[in-house]
Amino acid sequence: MTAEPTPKPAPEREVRITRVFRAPREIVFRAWVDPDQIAAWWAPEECEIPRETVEVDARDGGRIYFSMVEAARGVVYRVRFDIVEISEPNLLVLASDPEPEIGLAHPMRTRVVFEAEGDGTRVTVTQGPHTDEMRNRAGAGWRGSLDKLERILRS
Amino acid sequence: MATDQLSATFAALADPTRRSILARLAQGEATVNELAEPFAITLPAISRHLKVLERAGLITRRRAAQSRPTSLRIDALDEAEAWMDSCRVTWEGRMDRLGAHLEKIQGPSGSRGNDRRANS
Repeated sequence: MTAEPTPKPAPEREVRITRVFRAPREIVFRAWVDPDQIAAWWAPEECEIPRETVEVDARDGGRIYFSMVEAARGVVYRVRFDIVEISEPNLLVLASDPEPEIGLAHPMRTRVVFEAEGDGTRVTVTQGPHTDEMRNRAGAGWRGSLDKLERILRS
Repeated sequence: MATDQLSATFAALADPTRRSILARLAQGEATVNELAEPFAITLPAISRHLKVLERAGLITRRRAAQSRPTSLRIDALDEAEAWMDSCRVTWEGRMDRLGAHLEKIQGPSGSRGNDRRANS
């Protein structure tokens, strides 16, 4: 018999980030779909988003496309999100194809929830890989089983 | 990081039976028969699941013994975790910039940016 493996938490399949902003939901939400604002904040410090590359069609089945330019290295990254679901100012669900050059190796599902909290807005971003196999499964079942696995692995 | 390997890992993890198998293996090495026990599926079906997990690098199977005991490989899970960490860092930075942007468009006092429409 081998020794018992050290119990270890299961990896999370999803990244979850939450942040409270001192601004009402309507304003925070607009920052995600207004081309001028996307150009202003979305890119990392070392990149710029030329305003003319931002293309937004803010409706279910619409899109958020833009390019990030890293001048120092002369690299352009094209970012393409399809809007799966949009409910202003509550919810934005984005789908993206794999984009290895910007570190997105898998089809991704990004869910952004906007909740009023006091005078401000709590934004919760959940991002996870979205393979064909996952797409074919009911979300609840997959999450439930994962939670179970995680509990077992943690115990 | 090997992207193909990671894709295989996530695909392997997407199946509930395979996650149950991994959960069982987290308790220790097991034979195919032992792994099949909780499931109402055939041994060949279990073997197919094990092949997927093996290709994903999530398990190793000892070839020596006829029962081919299977054990969990933790480092493949670590790789998935490392990738998620980098994803988290990206989002934290993005949220910082969103916060700075919102302060800028609203003014430092955190005012709503609403027009204070006077009479005229």
